[in-house]
This record gives sequence, C-alpha cells and structure tokens, in this order.
Amino acid sequence: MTRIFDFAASTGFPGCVLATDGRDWSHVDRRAFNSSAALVAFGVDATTPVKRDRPVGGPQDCWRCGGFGRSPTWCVTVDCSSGVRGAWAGGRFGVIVYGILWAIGVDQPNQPRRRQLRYDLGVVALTGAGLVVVFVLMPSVPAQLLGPLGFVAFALAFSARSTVGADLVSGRAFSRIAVGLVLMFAGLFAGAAVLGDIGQVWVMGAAIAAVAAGVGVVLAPWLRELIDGASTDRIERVRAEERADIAAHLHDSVLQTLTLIQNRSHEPQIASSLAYQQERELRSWLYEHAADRGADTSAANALVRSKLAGVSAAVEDDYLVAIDLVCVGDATLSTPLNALIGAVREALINAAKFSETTSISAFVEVGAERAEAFVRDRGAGFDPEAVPADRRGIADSIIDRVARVGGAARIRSSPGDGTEVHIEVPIDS
Amino acid sequence: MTANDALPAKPRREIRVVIVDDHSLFRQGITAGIGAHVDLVGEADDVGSAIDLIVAEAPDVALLDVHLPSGLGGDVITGVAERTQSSPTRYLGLSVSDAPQDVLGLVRAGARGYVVKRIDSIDLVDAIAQVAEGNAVFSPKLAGFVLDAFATNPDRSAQDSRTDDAVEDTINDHTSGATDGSNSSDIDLLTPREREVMQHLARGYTYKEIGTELHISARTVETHASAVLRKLQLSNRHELAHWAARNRLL
Repeated sequence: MTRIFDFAASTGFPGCVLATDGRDWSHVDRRAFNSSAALVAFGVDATTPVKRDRPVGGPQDCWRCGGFGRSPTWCVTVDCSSGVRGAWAGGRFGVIVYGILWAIGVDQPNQPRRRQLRYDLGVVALTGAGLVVVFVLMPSVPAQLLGPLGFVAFALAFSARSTVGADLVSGRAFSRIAVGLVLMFAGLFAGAAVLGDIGQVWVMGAAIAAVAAGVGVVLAPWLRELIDGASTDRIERVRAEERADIAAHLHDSVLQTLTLIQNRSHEPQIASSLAYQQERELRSWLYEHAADRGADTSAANALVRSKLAGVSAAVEDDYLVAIDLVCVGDATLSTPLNALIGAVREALINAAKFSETTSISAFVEVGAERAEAFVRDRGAGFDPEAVPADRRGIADSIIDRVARVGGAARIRSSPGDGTEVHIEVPIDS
Repeated sequence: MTANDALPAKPRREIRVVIVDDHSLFRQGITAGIGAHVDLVGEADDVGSAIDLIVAEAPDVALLDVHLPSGLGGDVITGVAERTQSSPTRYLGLSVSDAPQDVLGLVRAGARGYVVKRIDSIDLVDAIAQVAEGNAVFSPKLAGFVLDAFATNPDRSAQDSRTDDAVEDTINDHTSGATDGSNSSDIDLLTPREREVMQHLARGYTYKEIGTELHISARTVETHASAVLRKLQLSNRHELAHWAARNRLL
C-alpha cells in the first residue's frame, strides 16, 4: 500500500491510486490522495507534506462528512453537498473530474458492486464522448473507423476494469487483461482492414506488438514489485488485525479473570470456579470460532449438544463444580429431548448440592429411536429407599418429567458409593 | 479419568517418564504432582529436543502435549519411530485441548491414550502406569468421540451381541490376536461389547467398575479398550472419515 502511495503521491495522479487499489479506502492516506487529486482537479498546491496512517476524519478532512478534501469546499464525497459546490467552484473541469471520481466510486469504500457499475457506466459515457470529440475535431478521420475504435476503447476498458476493485494479484485479473489485449488487437486489425490494404495490417500489427512488448519489458519489474508489495502489505494488514483481535480478546477475558483469581486466591472454590468459567469461555472462543468456519455446523444440527453444554456450564457456575460432559450423537430439540435435558439438569444440580464432591460425569447419547443420559458422581450417595415420600424433588423433577414423555429414570445410589441417575426417553420421529 | 487400579502394575518407582510440553509452568506442576511416584528422567519443550531425549533415554512413557512450538505431538512419535526401530516408549497424550482433531490426531499417530491436563495427579499416575503396561487410556471425552465416530448400525449390533459374549472369556492376553485375523470391515465397527465399554468409560467408570458392571474381568475390559484403540488408529471407516472431515481432521 505504501508503495502504491509513494507512486501516487509522487505522480500526483489520483488515477494511479484508483487503478491499483480500489478496494478499501479506509486504509488510504487521505491527505496523500487529496493533495494529488487536488493538483489535478483544482490546481491546489500538492506539496503539502504527506503524513501517513492518519486516522480518518482528522481535522484536515472535510468536517461535514469526514470525506476527502481539506475543507468542504474541496470535498469530493458525493453525499456531501459541499462537495458538489466544491466541484462547481472548480469550474467545468472540476465538474468533469468530480464526475469521473464519482463514477469510479472514490467516495464509497465498501461498495465494490456499485463502484463497478458506475465504472462501467463511466466507461460507456467517456468512450462515447471521446469518439464524438475525435470525430468533431478531426473531420478527416473516416467514419468507418467509428466501430473499430469504439471496440478498441471497450477492450481497453474491459481489461482495465479488472484492476479496479479487484485483487491485483489474482489470476483472474491477469486473464482479463489478456482477453482485453486480444480484443484490442482484434479491433485495431479491424480498423486497419477498414482503411484498406490488408497487407499493411500485418505490418501495423507487428509494429504495435513490438512496441507493446518493449513497454512490457520496461514496466514488468516495476509492475512486479508493485503487485508483490500490494499483496505483502495486505497479508501484513490481515495478520496485524488478527493479532489485535486476539490481544483484545485475551485482555478482556483471560487477563481480567487472572486478576480476579489473584484477588480471590484465599477462596479456592471461587478461584477454581473462575478458572473453569474462563477455561470454558476461552475454549469455545478458540474452537467454536474455528468450527464456524468449517462446514456442516448448521444450527439445526447442534441443538441438543449446545443446549446441554449451556445447562452444564450454568450448573458449574452456580454450584462451583466441574462437570465432565460427553455427548454422543445430536438431534434437533423436541418435547422428549427437552424433558431429558431438564431431567439431566436436575440430576446435575442434585449431584452438585448433595454429593459432597466437586466432580460430576454426565454422558448423553442421542440415538435414532431413543436418547439416554447418565449423570454420575462419586460422592456421598444416599439410600433411595430412605428418602421421605414428602421430598418430591427427585420424583417430580426427574422421574415424572421423563415419564410424561414416555421415558424412564432410574436412580442407583448407596451411601458412600456415589450416585448414578440413568434417564431414558424415546424419540418419536 | 480414573484408570484401572486393579490391573497388575509394575512398582511405580520404576516407570521412567519424560514430559514433553512447552509450558515450563505446567512441567513444574506435573513434576510436583507425580515426581514422587514415577522416575522423571527428562523434559523437553519442542519436537526436535523431544525426539533426541526419547531416543537417548528410552523412557517407558512419554507425556506428550498436542501442540508444540515446532509441530505437533504426533510429530514426536513419528520422529522417534524414524530414528529407532525398537523404541520401548509408549505415549500418553496430555493437553488442555479437548478438540477432536487434537485427540484423534495424537491417537492416530500412535499414542496409547489421551487425558486432559485437568486430570488430578493420582489419576495421572494411574494413567501412566496403564500406558506403561501397554494398556489403552481413554478419557470420557475420547470414549465419546469413539462412539460418535463409530456409531454403529443397530441391526448389526443385535446380531453380534451373543457371539461377542461367547468369545469374551477366551480373550485373556494381548490385544493383537483379537483383531489381526479379522477382515478389514471388522476394523470399521465396534462390537457391542466394545460399545458398552466405551459407553461406560464415557460415563466416567474405571476399568474395574466396568468389569463389575458387565460381569467380566478388568483385564477383559482393558482388552476391549485396546482393541478399540487399534480400530481408532487403523480404521478407514467411512463414518470415521466423514466425522473426521466434519471436524476438520483429515
């Protein structure tokens, strides 16, 4: 990017900036652009020192819209009314340049489609205007040339378009340029043929090819460097953004939690719970973030799993325990599965409250016809027979809940030997 | 994950262990936790030095982190295999990551098991003893992955369940005999018994508890677990491939 800029700034020609990178204008140093654009459009002194990487909307930009221009008078942003006035102030030439800038969409950084459309329209208009000018100024030019010349102009525009708003280094851009050049030569040949002797056509073609080859040889190293620089800059920018993203996330989450843990280190349960929460959060950020980019993670597919993960996380947080949750299979939520998840939640809470351990295992397997869940702790355990009949917690929240959807729950426990709750529901398809 | 404490284990002092992990803080923590129970012979913090260390020391067990600065834990296993033909070292994966690609990648590279770093020291010492014996160590998560990846056709399970029980008591020694002669499709399926063992492991049971539960010996449970580990390492089963692709493993 900077290289492109140096070039643009040194030539003072905004078209170079536009042609080499029409994509993301927020990264363009506006003053560099402005000074060069102003030189061309309004004859303003372009020797203003160029300072790079200035934040957008600084005092030197148009204070009405934050767009290009050192003041609203010179603002070329299309939606800024002062820009239009500025163009008028620049005279007819200003209006034309403004029109061109508008056509290539200088002012709309994030709308490549719109810009391309405008570019196409602009090319049509300019070609038409150019041809009219040629034929008006030079009446000696035979009218038969109108078609071939127009064709050539469009061929050039076609290949040039590939460099506007497109990735310069992509193979597609190059192939478009190649196609454009072929079309252009075809047009020239057609023009020569119209003029007469087909033998001259070959001579002319050879001459043009030689000149083009010469220009290509001269420009190739520079072009190469320009393209390499552009892609390197882009990669570096993406990397820097990613680094900043990670740093911001770590700062907001991990560092904060570590501070909290230091402060609460005399309360081991809370410290450990904080650590678990943070671990879970970071894990989901790291891996689910990555999974988002993969295929086959449709929302409908992940429902039981993600809901269980949420339930388990909530119990971990509320009761300061660690739950080892393992899910096999998955399905969209349905009434029986919701009942299963609710019962699992109750079982987890019971284990967290009464088992006197801080570690619980939960295993849920969703099959084609039924779903099963096991919630197990190695804690105190109890005698299920000895639970008074008026203690309705287990009966209501676990057993009855799954019985209503045709399932069953069994509780296996004995004092000192932990507890396992087995929940099973049928899945009606 | 609590490993099976009923299996005959060598006296723990004799197990020679190296730790391969790039976090020195974590290595210190492990050393403090298990140092009294095993013979820690070295530490390494990247792939190259880990390979050198393991080739030189030939420890019984290497605790292997999944992600190292210069590669993956699996690279250590393959690197050692390239350097020496007969390394006695067995590998136990140890990582903060539960991500399927990490777990499966390490197991498929040849690790005998996988536990998460959250594991407490006593369980870790048990797991090390298991791996030193050549046994498989499954964390509940890993067992869950296996069940997911090898989700079997229920019809087939019903047919197989009887024959599987019949041969069970005849299996008593090494795992190799159990699956070597079988045709390739067998390696792509879990037997119903193996499924049961995996389900119990996923529920947080130890081998011993599973044995009691299923009325078989703890050793037989271990045999099933090792057979599953082999299948996990060797299978090209369609579902495994699909599952792996879905989880971006292969």
